Amino acid sequence: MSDETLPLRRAERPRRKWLPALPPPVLLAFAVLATMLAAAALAPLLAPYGIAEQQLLSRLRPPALLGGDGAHLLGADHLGRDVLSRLLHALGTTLVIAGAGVLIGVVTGTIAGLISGSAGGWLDHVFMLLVDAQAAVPLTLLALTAVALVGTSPLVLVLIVGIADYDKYARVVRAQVLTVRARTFVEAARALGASPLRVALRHVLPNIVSPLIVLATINLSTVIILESALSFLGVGVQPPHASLGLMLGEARNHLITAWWLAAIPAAAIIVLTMTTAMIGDWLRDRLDPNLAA
Amino acid sequence: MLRWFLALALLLPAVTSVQAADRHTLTVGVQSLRNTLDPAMALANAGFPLTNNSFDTLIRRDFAANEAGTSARLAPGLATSWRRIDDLTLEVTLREGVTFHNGAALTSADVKFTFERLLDPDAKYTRARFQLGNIERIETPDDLTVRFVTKKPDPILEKMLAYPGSSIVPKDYFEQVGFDGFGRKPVGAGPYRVLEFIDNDRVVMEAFADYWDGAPPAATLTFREIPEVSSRITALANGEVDIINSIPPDQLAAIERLNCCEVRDVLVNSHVLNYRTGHPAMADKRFRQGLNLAIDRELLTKALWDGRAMVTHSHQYEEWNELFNPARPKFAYDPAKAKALIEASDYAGQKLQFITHPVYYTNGLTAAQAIVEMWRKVGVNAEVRVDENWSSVSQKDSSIEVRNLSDWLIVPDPNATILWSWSITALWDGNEDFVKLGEDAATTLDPKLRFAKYQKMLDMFEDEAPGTVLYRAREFYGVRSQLTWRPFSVYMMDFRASNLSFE
Repeated sequence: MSDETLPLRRAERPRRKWLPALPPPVLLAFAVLATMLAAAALAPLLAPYGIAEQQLLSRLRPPALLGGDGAHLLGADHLGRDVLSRLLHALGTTLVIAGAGVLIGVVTGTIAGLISGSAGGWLDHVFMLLVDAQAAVPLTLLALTAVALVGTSPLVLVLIVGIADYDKYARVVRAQVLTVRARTFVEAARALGASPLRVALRHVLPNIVSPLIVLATINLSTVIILESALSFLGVGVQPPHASLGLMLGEARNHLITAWWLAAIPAAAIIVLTMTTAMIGDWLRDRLDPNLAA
Repeated sequence: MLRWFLALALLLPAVTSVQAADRHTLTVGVQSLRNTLDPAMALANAGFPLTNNSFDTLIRRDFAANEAGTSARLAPGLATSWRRIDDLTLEVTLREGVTFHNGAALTSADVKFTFERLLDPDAKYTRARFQLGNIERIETPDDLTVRFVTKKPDPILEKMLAYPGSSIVPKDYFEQVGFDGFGRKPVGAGPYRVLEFIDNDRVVMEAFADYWDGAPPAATLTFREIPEVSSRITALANGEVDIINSIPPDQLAAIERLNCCEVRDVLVNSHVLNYRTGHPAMADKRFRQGLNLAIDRELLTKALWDGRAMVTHSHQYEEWNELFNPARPKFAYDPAKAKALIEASDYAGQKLQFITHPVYYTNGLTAAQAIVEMWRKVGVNAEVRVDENWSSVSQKDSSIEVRNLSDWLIVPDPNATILWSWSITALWDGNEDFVKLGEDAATTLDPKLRFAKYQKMLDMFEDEAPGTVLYRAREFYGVRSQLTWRPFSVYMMDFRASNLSFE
């Protein structure tokens, strides 16, 4: 193999391997997610009104397509706040909380799984006991208790949402550690005198990254739903800030006369969770060696 | 012979069930119930409609006497007549042959007991005792005559006898079950007898056949607690309930669209704000005056109430007749002046918590959010806190600076509205002079002198600004169209034969 052909082959390979494999629905999902992320990031620029800006005389105005006017494209809520502006901000809030939550879940879960899988013995038992205990407590109950004890704040919400899912990561990471640990190159490293910490970080961690990414993407949708549920129940994001779940919760009393107030954030939640779930599914198909075989 | 008895015993349930099917049941979906049915404890918007149907008062307020259902006229109730013997004594003649739900006859001893239980300084009836505290003693010359002797001349005693807190309770039964027992299983002399009372769920009553003022039209009367507006409307639409209360004006279309039902409404009392004047952030009266000037009441009325609530002339009502001053201006809206007052005050940007119940008041939460936004515009750092236990929490928790409430109009007299609203249910520290003037006005017989005293109290109230009045609210009910029934002011739902029939 000559040096001249190598760059060409490298450039070709990903295209052949990845692009044809990207089915149109996944492509669409990526496009939608990218649009939503961009919209959320640019919310302060795109939103025609402030998030808490009230125009009481415009309250419950329907969206432009349902007989409203151009001043409020998606209508106005029960306080005359522009639904489009709130939706853009809510999208950002929900994505940030869900993203940060997933990150916390991944980090704590991975650390717990690594320690548990690498150390074995009583430490393993203790960690797995904690994970089992978490699985036995309903998530919403846990969240409500935490909020009752320390009150509502964005930080608490992120922590709750993060900790809610750590057990899943811990379990997967531990299982992977146990498999990887038994493989010959790890045994070789250990025979050469590598410390358990070095083995965990240098040899085990890189091998469990792909299942983690898959799990995190799939969990993102669950976390979005959890955040929305908590905000709907009034223990999540507090008014006048907006999250998708809070918008849904506030629309509850107007379901009969102003159904679009609930339908719009609900549609956003559905689209967001469906796209992330689709991408997660597809990533799993791509990265999971067991499924590839 | 035995066979006949058996046959009769078998037939009897069949006969009664046929009768029950002929008679009507009425179910009312309300946004909130109370945790006691003692008429002198359930002194709240949600309590009055419950106790009004199971108890009677000596004198009755005849709401129906005007078109609007707000009349302050007095009519005979358990008393057939009453007269002033001198400035301090009112003699009341009781109706003959009235019995309580448990069959006991109602006599002057029960009336005496009713008021003495409230006036006992050790009893838990703090509010009722404050309200009826001018009564010195009750004399009972015979079974059907009662004499109320007051400490000072009392121009409003008759109105106070028509107050739901003055509902007559049976002495023997009350002494037998005690204060707590009575609140759970009350016995009165009203049209409906309480059968079942489950907290936060329902109160079930049945018609009291021996009621003195005509057989009650509903065989069973049930009040069901359904806190959410949407759920109440759904319950009305699918026939679970016949009447629902507390419909926000923007939901009226949902009821008008139903073929079964229609909206009926009545003016009720006013929604007010209470400020905790003792709190460091709120101690400066200029700051509180600023808060009041920053509220655009006309806008709230127009946007939230579809123009059907009313901005009041200070804290006054037309029902007071000669004590009402129509020349007194309405509350002003002046954001520029508000901003100047707040900047000049000691307020240093502390966060104010405005606590509200999510559903107790129609538009309560929405108005709170709108007002907080109006305050932000004049430089006040405020936020809304929603709490289901808002009334007890806001009384105890000193971190709560602002709360919403509704005022006292159940007795159509400035004594209730002005004095009670800004003393017993206010968060106003240092209102001793105001209360003293109020007690003086409540014992002044000459209407002109009383009028002047209440105007002075309103001056004090506006200057000290321990809170404010938002608007006089309107209560909207969803009612099954074939029911002949109309709501009365101050949340009264009267299901006596005079106000209810099934077509």
